Amino acid sequence: MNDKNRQHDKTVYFEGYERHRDAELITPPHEIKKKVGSGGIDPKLIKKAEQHIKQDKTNFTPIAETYLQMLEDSCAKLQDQGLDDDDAFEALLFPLVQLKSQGGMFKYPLITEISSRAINFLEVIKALDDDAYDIISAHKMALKAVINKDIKGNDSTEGAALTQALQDACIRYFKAHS
Amino acid sequence: MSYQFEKLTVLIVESNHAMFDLTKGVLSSFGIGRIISAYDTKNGFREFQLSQPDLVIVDWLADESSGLDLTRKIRTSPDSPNPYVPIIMMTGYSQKKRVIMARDSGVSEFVVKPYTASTLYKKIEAIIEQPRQFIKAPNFFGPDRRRKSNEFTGKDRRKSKARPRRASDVAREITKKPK
Repeated sequence: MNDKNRQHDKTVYFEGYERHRDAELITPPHEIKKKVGSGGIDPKLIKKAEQHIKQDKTNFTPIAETYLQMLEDSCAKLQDQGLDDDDAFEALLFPLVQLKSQGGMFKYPLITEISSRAINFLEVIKALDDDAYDIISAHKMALKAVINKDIKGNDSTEGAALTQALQDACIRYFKAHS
Repeated sequence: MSYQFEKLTVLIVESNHAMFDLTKGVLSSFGIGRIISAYDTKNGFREFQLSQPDLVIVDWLADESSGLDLTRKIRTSPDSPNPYVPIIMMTGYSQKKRVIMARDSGVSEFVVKPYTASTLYKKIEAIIEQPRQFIKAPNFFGPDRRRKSNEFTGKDRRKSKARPRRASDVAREITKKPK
């Protein structure tokens, strides 16, 4: 080993040593375990909870409309005033994430699927240019159609056609921008 | 013998009332004794101080301070009555960078919405049965973020009774004079 390497090893050793010395490992009191004990829960209770989700009677339409309006406002702001990319991204992402997470919980899996596709699209594009804006607008219109026509799952002909059209639009975008 | 969930107090911090009701129903079905609500992070911390829950379920939220801020406050504020409380972050965000952000704020578990009752139960069970140590470092306080131990899966040669042949053994064999 030459002198240069020896010096390097020494530096790494001391950096690591300092790092470990600064971090303290703590075993916290496990209060929750002390309270609940052992043995898990009866699987019937998990089924009961699943049934609770299935039988929930929440009317999702007004909730979805609120987030759709937010999405529309974000799109309009983006088109009229222009936003720097970070703001635009977050403003579009928030209502889409809400629609994605709640659609599936309140019996609208198609809303979850379309929102999820839009989120994935936003996550991979490099800039919110006009073409990207068109893709997001297409997803927004699809979401609106799903709510207005009360299409819940993607097993319907209309649902399948919508998701296929959105997928094709994304493929065209990435072909044009690759 | 099964878990005595009726002894537990859970705080749900969720901005959407319908989603809060749904999660509350799921937890009630599991047999959780007391479920407390807060619809923003400010009230969330107040309720946390007042009720001192055994578990906190927090949404990413969207008000001026997020679920991440609440998690950091619970973990590091001098006013926090229990910095070690298990925290489940429940959110529609699922991208890797969001999971890392949540983990770095000090959450114990991460549940992606839409979720199933079974998924939520498994996370609660993991908190009970696989508690993590806490790390106290200059810029982080929370559960150990290293999820898996890097177990060696190869042959453990230290346990092997057969002594490996060394170069000197081979040299000795070669140079040994035939009898």
